Amino acid sequence: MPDRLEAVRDAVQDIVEPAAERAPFDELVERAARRRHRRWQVAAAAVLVLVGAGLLLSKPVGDQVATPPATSTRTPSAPLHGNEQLIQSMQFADPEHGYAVVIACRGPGYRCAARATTLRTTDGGRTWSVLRNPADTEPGEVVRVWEATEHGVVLCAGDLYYYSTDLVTWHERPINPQDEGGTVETVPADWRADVIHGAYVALDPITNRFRQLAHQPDLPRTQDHWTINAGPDQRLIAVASNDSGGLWLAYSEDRGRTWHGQPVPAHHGGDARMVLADDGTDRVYLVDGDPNGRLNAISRLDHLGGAWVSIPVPTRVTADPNPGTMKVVRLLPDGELLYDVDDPFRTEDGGTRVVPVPLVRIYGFQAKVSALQSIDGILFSNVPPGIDAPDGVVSILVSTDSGRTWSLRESRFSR
Amino acid sequence: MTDLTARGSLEGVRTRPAVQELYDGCYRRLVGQLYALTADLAEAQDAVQEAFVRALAAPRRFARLDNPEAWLRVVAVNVARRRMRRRAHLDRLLRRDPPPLQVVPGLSPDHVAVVTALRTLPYAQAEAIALHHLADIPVREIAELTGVAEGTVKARLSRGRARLAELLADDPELEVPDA
Repeated sequence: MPDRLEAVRDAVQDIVEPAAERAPFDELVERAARRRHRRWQVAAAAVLVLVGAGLLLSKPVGDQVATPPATSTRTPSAPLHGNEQLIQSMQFADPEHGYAVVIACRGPGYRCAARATTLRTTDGGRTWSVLRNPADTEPGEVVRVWEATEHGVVLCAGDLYYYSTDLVTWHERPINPQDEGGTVETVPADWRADVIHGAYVALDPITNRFRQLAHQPDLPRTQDHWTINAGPDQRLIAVASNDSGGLWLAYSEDRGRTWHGQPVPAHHGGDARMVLADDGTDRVYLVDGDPNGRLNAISRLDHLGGAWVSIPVPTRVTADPNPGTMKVVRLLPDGELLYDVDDPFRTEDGGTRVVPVPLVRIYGFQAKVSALQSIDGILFSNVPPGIDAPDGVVSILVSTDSGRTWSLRESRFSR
Repeated sequence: MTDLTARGSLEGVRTRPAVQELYDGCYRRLVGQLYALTADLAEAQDAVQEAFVRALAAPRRFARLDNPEAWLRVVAVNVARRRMRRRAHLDRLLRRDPPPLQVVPGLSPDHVAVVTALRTLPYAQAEAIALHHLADIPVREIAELTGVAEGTVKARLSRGRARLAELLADDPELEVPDA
């Protein structure tokens, strides 16, 4: 037996390794960039409406838990066109108006480069109609709903984004902003505070222009700087961090004219994160993870300028032998925390007590669902991959009680 | 949610040449090791490329690693493991047979017989044998990679080899090499 195993080992080295095909390195760089960009989009969406994407586990009713298929990173030789409408991206501007990018595929092993179709709903996902736009010439896995507001929608595909305010006329812009020049005292209404070339700027996401703020927050000149729009009055929070785990905050209550330092509780650094509430307050959570991804502590700031309060971290998180999986924390509309891990659970009583996230029954399966988007206290999620909706049907899940129960909304649409 | 790790664009620019050097130097070796585990060249390529994408997407963390190749192997093995489990589950759900073995041209019938037999073992045993005997990874490193004790790895190797020998009508009495 050892000889035969050695022979196979030698054959792997002599025959298999030379046969391995390599994707161009630039292609990997591009994929990584797209992934970073998607993460940024999640972060941006979280600032406005909270909570990131999620899919978790599904199982057939009465059978053991299993994991649904993931999106493949392999470029398929041919699209697997079909009639299953898979939601790739979804954003709601309010509980009624939303947008989704779907692709039509077949088969459970999703490896589909089918063209994107962008849909629009005006009744909370009960019905959808096709929204014609130039981004839909790209494969569905590339096109995403970047931002949905009461004023219109922004779609992005590759290095471009497309915006429309009337859903008829579309404007194409490069994602990298163009400098308009000059400074500005405050961030104008409907503009976004951002960091470009190391400086805090006011960015108009629609026209793609930015102007440097005349008054910069007093933060260390570290490698990483960013800013977020927080709270009901769109206060600004500026953040700086460094490789040693340092993290600094400053905030502005007058759209960038004056800045105030906000002390940060002691943290391990390396993987600190911030989660913002969408409950009409400017509550901020600091989630402190170490470089191995282990989540060590959570602190809550009830209002900017106030003092941080330590939140207990459940033992099952701190004691987990695989720390890299225990760092994803999301904030539910009722103020409780969702630990979005393999077997997700949520806190009760602010964190001292935890309960499993209940399963939801969908198309003969039971699935664990985490929220895709929370807006005005309502959670929206797509159906977890691996569970097939009927052909031609767009299905989403909606929860009005912070994920305790979910209802299914289904719709067919005509092209 | 704001994610610090997504903000290291400058770090990414600095890390990229190092990752490319690894890609040039280690890619085929990693694919060979993953092939030993998956018996599917396309899956192996996919898993290794995914590991490199993750390295590029989290440059700050990658820059801190003492042994980047080992990290890439861990990520690729985990990616492959998750995909294999998902595929097996879907096969059960759909009551379909697993896809036939994709034979790489040049492998002899005996090589194919061993790889085919390996696929019939319980996953943990097949993983241990593939990583240790076919990918030349020490027991200690497999223990770290799979999150179990070294003794567990040795037990899996022993049982796996015994079962493999039965399947291939070979001698099951084999020693477990030291780490």
